[in-house]
Parts: sequence; C-alpha cells; structure tokens
Amino acid sequence: MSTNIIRNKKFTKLKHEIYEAKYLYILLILPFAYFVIFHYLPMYGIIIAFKDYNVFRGIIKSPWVGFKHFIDFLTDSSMPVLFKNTFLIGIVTYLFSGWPNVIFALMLNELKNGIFRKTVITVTNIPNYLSVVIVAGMAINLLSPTDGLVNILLQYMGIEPIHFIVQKAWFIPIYVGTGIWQGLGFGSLLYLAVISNISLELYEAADIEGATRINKAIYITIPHLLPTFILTMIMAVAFIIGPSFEKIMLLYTPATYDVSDVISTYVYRKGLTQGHFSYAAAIGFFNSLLSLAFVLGTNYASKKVSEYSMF
Amino acid sequence: MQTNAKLGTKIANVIIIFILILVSLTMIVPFLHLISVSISKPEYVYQGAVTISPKGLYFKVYEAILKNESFLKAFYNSIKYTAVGTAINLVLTCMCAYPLNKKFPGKKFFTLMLVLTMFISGGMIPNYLLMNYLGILDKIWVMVLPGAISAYYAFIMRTYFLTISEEIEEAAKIDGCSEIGILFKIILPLSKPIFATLGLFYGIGHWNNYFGPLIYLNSKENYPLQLFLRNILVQQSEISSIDRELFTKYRQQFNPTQFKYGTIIVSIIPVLLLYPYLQKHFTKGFMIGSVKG
Repeated sequence: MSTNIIRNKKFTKLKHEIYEAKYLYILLILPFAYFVIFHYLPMYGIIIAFKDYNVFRGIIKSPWVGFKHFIDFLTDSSMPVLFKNTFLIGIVTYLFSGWPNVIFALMLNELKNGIFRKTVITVTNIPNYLSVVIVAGMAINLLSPTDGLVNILLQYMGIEPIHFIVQKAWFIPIYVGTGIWQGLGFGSLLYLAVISNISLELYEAADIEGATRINKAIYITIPHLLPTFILTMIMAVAFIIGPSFEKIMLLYTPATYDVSDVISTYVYRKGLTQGHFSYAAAIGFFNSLLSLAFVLGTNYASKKVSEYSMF
Repeated sequence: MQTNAKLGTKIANVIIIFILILVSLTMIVPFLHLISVSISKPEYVYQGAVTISPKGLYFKVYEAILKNESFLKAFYNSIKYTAVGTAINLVLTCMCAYPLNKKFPGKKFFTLMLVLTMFISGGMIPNYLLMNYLGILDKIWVMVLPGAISAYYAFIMRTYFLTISEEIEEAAKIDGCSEIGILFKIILPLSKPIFATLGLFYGIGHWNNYFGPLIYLNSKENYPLQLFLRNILVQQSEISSIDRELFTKYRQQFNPTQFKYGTIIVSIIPVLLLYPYLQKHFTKGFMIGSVKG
C-alpha cells in the first residue's frame, strides 16, 4: 500500500516535471527527430550487411545471409592490399603529423613580433580553409607532366618530366605532402598559443644565467610544449585507421590502386558505383568497428598513461 | 666567447628566416603561378614559359569563366546550399543546445544519444539507402539535412550559453517569462558571437563539401562548385566540352589549363574575402576545444 503511494507520488512529481519542461520538449522535437532519422536509422540500416539487399524487396524483406559478406570480404584476394594500404597511409600520415607544426611554431617564436612574422602566419594559414578538391586539384595540375609548374621547373634544371600522379612511389608523398602543406600554419597556432603562456620570468632567469637561444628553446620552450604535443599525438593514434578517403578519392588513379586503394574507397566503388550494397555495407561496418576499437583503445591507453582522455 | 655567441645567434636567425621564407613561398608560388597562367597569352602557356609572372596580359579567360553556364550554375548552387544549410544548422543546433543546460526528465538519455553520434555512424551505404528511401536524393534537402546538427558544435554552443548569467534568467522567470521567451529575449541577443563562430564553421563546411554532393547528387544542374571543380581539375571530363564551347564562342584557342586555373582563382575569392573572419573565429574555436579537452 505504502509503496503504491510512493510510486504515485513519484509519478505525480514526474508528471509535474514533464509539464514544467513542456517548452523544452517542444524545442527538442526537431533535434530529436533529426538524430533518430539521420543517425540512428542508418545504424539500423547496417543490418543489410547481414542480408542480401535487393532494391525491390527493401531492407526488411531481403533474405538473411548471416556473415556471408564478411567471410567473402575477409577471403577476398584484394583484402590484404586494402588493409596494408589503409594502415600504411595512416601510419605515414601519423609519423609526419605534429612535429612539423612544433618545429614551425618554434621557428616563428624565434622571430620578433613584427610584420614578417605576421605575414608568415597569415600566408601559411590560408590553405587551411581551401577545400580538399582545390588542394588535390592544384596538386594534380601543378604536377602534370605536360604543363605543370613542377615539371616546368624540373625541365629548367635539365630533369626529364615525371608523371607523378600515375606513379606508385609518388602517391604517399603527394598525399602526405598536401596534408602538411594544408595543415602546417594552422596546426602551429596551437603550439604558438602554448608558448605565449610560458612565463617570461623563466626566460629572464635563463638570460641572467647566460643561456643561449638554443639553450632556452631546449630547456624551456620544448619542455613546455611536450605535454600538448604528447596529448595530440596520443589522440591522433585513434585516427590512424581512418585516412581521409575524400582526398584519396581525388588523388588516386587506377594506375596507383595498388598503393592507394583503402577500405573506404573500396566500399565506395563496390557499393555506390557497382551496386553491391550489402557487401559494401559489410566492409564499411567492419571498418567502422575497427576504427571504433582504435578510438576506444587509444582513449583507454591515454587515460592510463596520462590521465587525459577524450571522454 | 661573446662574439661567438652573437655570431651564432645571427646565423641561426638567417637560417630560420630563410626556412620560413621557403615555407611561405611554397604557399604563395602555386597561387602566383595560377594567376599568371590564367592571365597570360595562350601561346606562352602552350610553350610552358609561364612560371610566376604573367607573359602578355590576356583576360578573356575570366570573361569566359564568368559567362560559363555550368560554372555560374555551380557557383549559385554552392551559395544556395551554404546559405540554406547554415541557416538550418544554426536554428536546429540552438534548439538542441539550449535545453541541454536545463533539467528535464530524459535529459541523460538525450545527451547520450548525442554523444554516441560523435563516435558511431551508420556508414556510407546505409546513409545512401536512407536518402534514397526518404526520396531526397538529387534534391537540395540531401545537401542541407543530413548534417543539420553536429553534436560537437551543439556542446560548444551549450557551453557558451552557460556563460550567460543565470541570475538574468531567474529574474526574467520571476517576471513571468517562459522558457521560450528567455531563449528569444535574453539568450539569443547575448549569443551573437557564438552564432557567428559556429555559422562560419558550418558555412565553410557546406562551401567546401564535395563528398556529399558526389554520392547524393546525380543531375549536373544540381552540382555545387566543388563538384564542378572536381570535374574540370581531377576528372578532366568536363574540360573538352568547355574547350569546344570556348572555341566556338571566342574563335580563339584557349589553353584549357588557363580555364582551370582561372576557375580555381575565382572559387577561392569568397574564401579569401572571409579569411580574416575565418581565422579569427577558427582560432577562437580551437581554444574552446582545447579548454574543453
């Protein structure tokens, strides 16, 4: 009897709270609908990875096939290459991330706060806002063997034109290089901000002790940058598995598929250009699980090691 | 000793300045080259004689670009998607962020629902099938609805709303203002900076988006600028038809490269015009992010 009353009381309280918040619920109707439709319905749609999706039958009526597509993929002859490329591109990108920004920030820090420094920062930050199409398009055209600037300059130096875009050896350098080109200036701003927070007294004390500029950089500036740098690098591990396939889609050609085709570009070609929806969805799902595992693993590790975590 | 250290400092300075100039040049030279090629006389471009200064001024290419229907249509589409998309982004993100600071039954559930979308997604194929099922493929809605709210930006906006003093809100409540009234009369007028910041974040995302249009749009008349650029710069599929069109129109051979480079220049002008604002707000943005992380 008494539990009933308590339950009733709780229920009236809940009813009252809901009534009080009625305007909040009205505000939330559209956002809630948005997340259900555009985020959770596609997650439900992943079940086609376990079915033989047929456009005319729809998702529900298509027959179940269990793990057939996953097994097909894992035994597919192109699978080892896709995995190799996904990891290799991710790891090389990772190895060339972070430290160029730090070095660039350290060099900027050595300059007096004048027009030259401001100009360098302004100029190097522009590429950050260009679209990946413009960056890749510029790279392809400037590297073109017929009228690209790079080959014009190479010819001045007496070097034969190189057809960069169709050569396997050049794919990763172009991919990573355009990434550094685009991100260098903006990426260094974070470290410049950290440097500007270092207490000036430290440098003054070092001056009195007779420290040179290189001493000060090594013993004061770099140690202060280290925590931010390490944290950034730990977090970046999470994204090794997900190279920017938007850029790969623009930069790769059939001639370089051996080194440039990654899991997500393969999903695009299988699914959207060839129409193997279920098979492609299965690969995509597998890829998402893998990258989620990377994110969670990295987060767990960084929590253990450095008490920093994303969530 | 003293002079040695001074000499060392000088040498270090020279090296640093030299490297910084070199790095800056890699960012400037490509653009100088694009501009030079686009305004040089075609014969010099054919010879490969143009590097970073124009040879023989010739502006017909820009006339051709600004009269090219595919380009104009694509430019117009990009403006349309960016304007409509950003407006929807801001309204919905605000509707999503405001209640997150309040107490209401189900808040934990809703917050979890938002956070999950930051780490899990259905993936390319299920998304495509959903748009197909909703019947919005190849329509403006497929450009503006799927990314309508970014959970991350919603949390940034919520954090900003928190900085607005609760006392003002309490006072308004006592005066009989409803939650919606508080939102419109107090929160929104005080939140212009965060709307400007997130508007630029969302806006540049729409303007630079090419993957969405690539998979969701089929008809050429709906293509935004980025797809047009991809077709002439990367696929090169469009360029021969443009070349033919230019030849019949101007009775003069252009070098298609000039058309490509001119188009790049015209396309980045809007971004360059907004650059000071972008820079200001993006710098602020990663400060918010880094404080939060």
